[in-house]
Amino acid sequence: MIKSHHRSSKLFNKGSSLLSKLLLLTFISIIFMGVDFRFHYLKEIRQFTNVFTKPLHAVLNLPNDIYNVATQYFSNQSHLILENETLKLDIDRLKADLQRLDFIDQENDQLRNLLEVRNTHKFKTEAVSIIYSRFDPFNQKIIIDGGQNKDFQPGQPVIDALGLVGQISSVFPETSEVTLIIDKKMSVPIQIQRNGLRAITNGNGQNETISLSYLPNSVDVVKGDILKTSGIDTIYPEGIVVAEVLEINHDPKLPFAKIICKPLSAIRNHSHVLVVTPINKIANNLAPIKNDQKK
Amino acid sequence: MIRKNKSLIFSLIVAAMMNLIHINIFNTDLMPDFILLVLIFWFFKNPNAISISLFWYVGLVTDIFMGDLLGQYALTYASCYFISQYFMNKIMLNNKYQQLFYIFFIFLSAQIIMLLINVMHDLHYPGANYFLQSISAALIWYLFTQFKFFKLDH
Repeated sequence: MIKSHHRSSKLFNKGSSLLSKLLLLTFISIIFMGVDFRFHYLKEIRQFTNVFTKPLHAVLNLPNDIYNVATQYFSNQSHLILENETLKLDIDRLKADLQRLDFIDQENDQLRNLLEVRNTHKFKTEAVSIIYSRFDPFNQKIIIDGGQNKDFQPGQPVIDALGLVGQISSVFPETSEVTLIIDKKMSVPIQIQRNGLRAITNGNGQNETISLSYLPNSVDVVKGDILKTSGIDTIYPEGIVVAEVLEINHDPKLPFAKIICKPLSAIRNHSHVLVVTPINKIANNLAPIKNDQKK
Repeated sequence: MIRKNKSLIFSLIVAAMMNLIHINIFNTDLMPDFILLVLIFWFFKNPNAISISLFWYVGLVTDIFMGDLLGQYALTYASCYFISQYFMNKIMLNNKYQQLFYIFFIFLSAQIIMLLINVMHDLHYPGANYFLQSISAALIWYLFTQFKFFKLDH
């Protein structure tokens, strides 16, 4: 009791100086925020600091890695043989599919040449692992393994086996930051698979959903429609599945219909994603996303 | 004194790593900001050794590593120090269930400051579920006060 009394008297003596300190620090913080908002120098600082954070992530991932190694080590042989066989079968099946796809691709190219339509861009993919997702309820971002060392560039799309995940927004020496399609600053040009209607999605930033903006109330969209990338922006390759329409609200008071969609890629559950790289180096067209463009 | 500093730095590094772990329930991240939790704990444990500038510096380092805008965590932590200082006598004199209310309030104000900063620079509200983090912070505080080491001396 005496102790706390002593403390309170100290608090009383220091009171005004604490408030002035707080005001000074608040002032400095606000100046920092203003300057950073204007010039984005935090990204440049991160170029250096990201080198130090990588060992921390390695330590955090250690229990998971140990578990994986242990289960691999102790899994019995028959199980491995079985798994190997199924994988081989899968590879054969996929190879057959790929041959057919190559044939269709060539045929498609020839037909496009006949019709004198400009060739679509070709892409290859590279698998990378997800290191962690950012601790920030205001941004939907994940950090992937590989950055300047793998020649990634801001603007490259990121997909997984089920659909579009997002887009690389900044590249660091060994890691890159991927903005997910559910981020509020993220827009993707899409086409509805059923009727070819073109539209643009916007992330909602919450509830893991995206919405279709600026479509009139009379628009032909039904629940369950699949949205695919339209490919007209040359950033996203054509025909990648983005989302499924979840609900449509036609409110006659509002000028536009409110259409909510659910992304089909398993954004939160995967440990690996694929980074899409254009083959015939139209990479120059890949304009790096600036903050003003994203808004 | 050096031992204290060592344990402070070590606990802050552990907290920074805990911040990378996410538990998603109700489509929100329920994990509170462990760095703030650790800072507030050390402050209540030894109020004279920890100053507002330490809170601010830690906030600045947090910003560099995981902030969206340089200075937002620094501002939040410095304000939290002020609020904690304001509540210090109440926390020291009350029992541990009443303490939880004040911890909840400190975290709620931290979240409101963070929300204001974010709303000001990109007009986005993450939903009411966002404030569940304050409740989970109070719960984690309660769990830790079950251990003798973490008890605050009255």
